[in-house]
Amino acid sequence: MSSSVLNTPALPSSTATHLTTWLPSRALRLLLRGLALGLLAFAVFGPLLNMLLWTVAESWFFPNKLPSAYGFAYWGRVFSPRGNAVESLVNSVSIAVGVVVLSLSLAIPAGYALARLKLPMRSLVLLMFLVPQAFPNLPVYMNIARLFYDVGLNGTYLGVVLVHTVHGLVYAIWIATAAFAAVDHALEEAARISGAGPLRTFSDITLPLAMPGLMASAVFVFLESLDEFTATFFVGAPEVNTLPLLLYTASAGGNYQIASITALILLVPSIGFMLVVERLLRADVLAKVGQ
Amino acid sequence: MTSSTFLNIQGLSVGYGRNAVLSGIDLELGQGEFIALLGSSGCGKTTLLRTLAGFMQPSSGRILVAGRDITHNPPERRDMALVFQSYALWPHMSVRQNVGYGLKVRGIPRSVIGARVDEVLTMLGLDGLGDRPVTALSGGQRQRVALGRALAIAPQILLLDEPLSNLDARIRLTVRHEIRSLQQRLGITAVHVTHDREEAMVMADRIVILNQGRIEQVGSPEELYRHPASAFVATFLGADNVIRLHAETEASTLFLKGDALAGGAGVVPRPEHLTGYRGPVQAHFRSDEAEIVSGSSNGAGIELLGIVKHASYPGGIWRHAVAVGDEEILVDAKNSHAQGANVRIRIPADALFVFPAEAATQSEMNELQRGGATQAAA
Repeated sequence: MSSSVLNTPALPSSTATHLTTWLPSRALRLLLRGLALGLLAFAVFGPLLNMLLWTVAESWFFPNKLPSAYGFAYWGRVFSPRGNAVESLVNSVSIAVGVVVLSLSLAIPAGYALARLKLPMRSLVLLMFLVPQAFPNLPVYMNIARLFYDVGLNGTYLGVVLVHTVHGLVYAIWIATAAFAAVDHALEEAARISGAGPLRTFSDITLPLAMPGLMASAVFVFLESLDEFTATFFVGAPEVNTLPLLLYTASAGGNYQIASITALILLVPSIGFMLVVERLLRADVLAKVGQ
Repeated sequence: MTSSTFLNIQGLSVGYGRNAVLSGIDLELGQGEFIALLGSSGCGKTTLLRTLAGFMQPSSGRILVAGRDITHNPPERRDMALVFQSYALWPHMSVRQNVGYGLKVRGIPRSVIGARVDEVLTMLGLDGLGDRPVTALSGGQRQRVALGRALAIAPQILLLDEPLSNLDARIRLTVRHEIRSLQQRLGITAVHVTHDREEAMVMADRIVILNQGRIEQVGSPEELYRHPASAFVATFLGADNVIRLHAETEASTLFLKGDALAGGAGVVPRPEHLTGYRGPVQAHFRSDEAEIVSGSSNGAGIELLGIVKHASYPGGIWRHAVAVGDEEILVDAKNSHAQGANVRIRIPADALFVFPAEAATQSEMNELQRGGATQAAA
């Protein structure tokens, strides 16, 4: 009682001092936040900007800060019949499509089975799929290349598709499991009691409801395959040429224009699909990833 | 009950792993009968429904529909419909597609499906909502769509899994009557799972009271209400005032003794299940069937002496908490009685349900036995 009486007159002055210290601290905080965001934007977009400049630079020599001549001459060279960019692009996309088809045809049944498993078992199996990712890439792919060489898969499209699938399957199965787990089991039961058999229920109810998640996993797998380098290099090169391999050869040869244009071609589907994935993956599916 | 048994459940036992959820359920339903499975959560009522639907396999026992054994049929080959507690409507389909799905999987021509769906939507007052996505409906409308989906296939048996528990209290009251009158009009045999006593009483022809995986009692609402067969049923159906007494029987008369009774004793007609019984009993009664009286009165029944602990007014009547001996009971009365007042409470014989004592503590049992022994010695 007495303490509250003592406190009451002190209150206005304390709020006043609080106000005066509050104003500059708020401005400072805004400034810091702006600075941090600016730095982040520079870190993300700076290299991209540099890359964009390189795609339209006809000549850019040290120590110039900017190119001395601009033009699309290199675009013509990249897409000319003699340049192998078109072939690489076709290769990359068809391999990626193959990988998506193979991964999903494995991930849909596996994801469905895992989603209906009891939780501890499910986590264990999912973790098992993650184990290959724990090893360093190079030794794994070198050994795969060695094995593929023995069975004649080295330098074939099938070999590249297989090795990309091994890599992409983790994402595919994890996301597919989450997508199926997010489908309420009662919805399937409702279809069964309505007269649909197990297969009909799966195709009419489960699959359409899990589809957004499955599409998202397809996009992930597609993108993973599109810019996969190490495995393609060991298993595919030199017979199977993909865009990342082309990019590597171009930039290793100091041909930054060709490398940048290739990189841009790779970037466009990545950004486009990321936006799609962001729309497809609903919060309830994301919450079930890895559960 | 009915002349012909339509749904016949014989010795059904169901368990998860080694835990038995249902043990030895026997039940017969006539065609067009509405049965409510009533019990508290965990009593096995939902398990029984899910076993009927084919989502769970019994460890033993049989389910017969019109004499045909369907125990091992998958859910899609049972000709039953189930209304889920969560409604389980398919969010990627419109109202029309939800209702018509069961007909579509049966390979019925689209024109016939369209007509049937229209008919069902009209019957449930859902005209004009057919092309809406189910996600755009209110709770009450979703419930109707779920019911429509179940009825569209004209099932032989309609299973209802607490379909009203997600509705507002007011809508619930009207939907009760709607479901009941639809079921009667269509002549469907229905099994309704609920934990709501009033809902079961209002809707069902017969109520099955389940307790710990066993059937406690089966009967019409009035039968159960007036003649509960066990202390559990009595308590579950509102007779939750309990007084512990000692009983002795002689022919068709039950002599009750206890300090709580006015004059230390009371006499009521002996119920069937206490034939030849002698020992501690628990007497159940409802607070609205007991009355506070002044002076002794005639008519079969017992009278208790107590002290009013407090009175409250929930509306219409005064509810008194009255201490009777060590026990506290609730008694309703038109007029309020002051706290601390000595009152005489009269319970008519037909409102008093007496069962052998089951959950009495050891000391209470000893006391009752001593009372009995003294009586015998005298």
